[in-house]
Amino acid sequence: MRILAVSAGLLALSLPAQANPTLEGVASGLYELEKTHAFLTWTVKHNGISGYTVNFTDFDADLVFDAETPSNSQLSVSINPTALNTNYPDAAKKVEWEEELGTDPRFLNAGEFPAITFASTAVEQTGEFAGTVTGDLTFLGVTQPVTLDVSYGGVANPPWFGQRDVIGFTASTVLNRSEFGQTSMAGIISDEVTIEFSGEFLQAEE
Amino acid sequence: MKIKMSFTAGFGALALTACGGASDNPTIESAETAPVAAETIQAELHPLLAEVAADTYSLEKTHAFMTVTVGHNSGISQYRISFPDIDGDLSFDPAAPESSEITFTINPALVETNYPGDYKAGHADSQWESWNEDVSRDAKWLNADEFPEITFVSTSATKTGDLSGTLTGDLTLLGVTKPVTLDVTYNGVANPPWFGERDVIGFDASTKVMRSEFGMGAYIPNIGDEVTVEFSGEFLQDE
Repeated sequence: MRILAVSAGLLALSLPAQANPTLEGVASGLYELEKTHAFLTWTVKHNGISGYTVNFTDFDADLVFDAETPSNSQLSVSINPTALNTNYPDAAKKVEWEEELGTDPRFLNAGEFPAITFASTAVEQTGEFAGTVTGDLTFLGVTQPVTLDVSYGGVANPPWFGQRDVIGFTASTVLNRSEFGQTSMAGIISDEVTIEFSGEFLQAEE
Repeated sequence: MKIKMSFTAGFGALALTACGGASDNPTIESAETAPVAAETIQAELHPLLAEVAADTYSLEKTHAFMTVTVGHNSGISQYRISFPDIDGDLSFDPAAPESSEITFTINPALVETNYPGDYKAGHADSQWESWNEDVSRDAKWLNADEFPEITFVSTSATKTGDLSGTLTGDLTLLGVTKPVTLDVTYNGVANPPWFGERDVIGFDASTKVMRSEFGMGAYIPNIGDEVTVEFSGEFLQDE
């Protein structure tokens, strides 16, 4: 992982987490992504010297969470590849660049492949609040198994959600884009792509 | 820049010439015939630093990312905000990275929270048009109208490894200036043809600050006091 110095560095950094997360009293059942507190990024290495990070800004996920036996949980994710934020500094060029990234056949090719999806196939608990989620990632029409490293961040009950639980997770994985047929700008843009997620899921209303 | 580069490498190359006997062509190849000198060079300069110009550099803004991350809901998730309008001037000497100096500015009037959907629909009472604007301008957050610039000016640097170090400087946020130390990794040099002979060098940097120390205490601990600051980006040798 250290080869991906840039992205691995981000992962290695301990982020501010809940001091004492708990699964006790957490409801099992369907949860939906709480989209206003959810971040999904991909990072590639650029020219071998810096990390280039882009946010997906339109994605959704459903989680069937089993608080007693987390390994029974199931996750499905859908990502709109046309909704990107590159933080490109020039406003007009930003729009062009994001459209190019989203739709150009060299990149996310959304005209032909309008959704990126992930459907879990196996969940394993590796620690009290850590585990892996393996699933089928479909990207550019190619489906490959991918395993996410996941940590559970804890539960919250903000009053505006009534009795519904909000649970937080952070997840990451590294994949090779060439395995999905994307080899554009090899040598300038790394084959390895680091995917990072942190966000909250809100218990669905009965 | 290749010319500067050969000046920098030139000191080593001169040493090579001196050790390895007279040569009008002190290239790396000739280093192989002078193993002692070659080892000396390697010990002094990591290969990723060996061909880098000692010069002033400016942020290559199209390949530069700066984010701050705080725990949300007492840390169950990480909330990450990007600063799309940043700039930096770097003075860098590959032979003495600890002599590097940097000034960095962040425009708090531009923040990107990637807030989805219609902010006003759920926040009809807000005086702000968007969540980005709220974070940027509200007095309890970045208060950009009153404090239109966040700055970092280095005061010292140390080398902690071949390609890593720390950079200490004065961070001014919300009108408060405090010393902050960044952990920095140097990632290497690139020479894309569209920049001619100019070097492009890449770094990662990160640090943690307590926002309460700068007077921003809103919603602690629901929104964490500890802020993780992360940077990855490139600097382009000045013309």
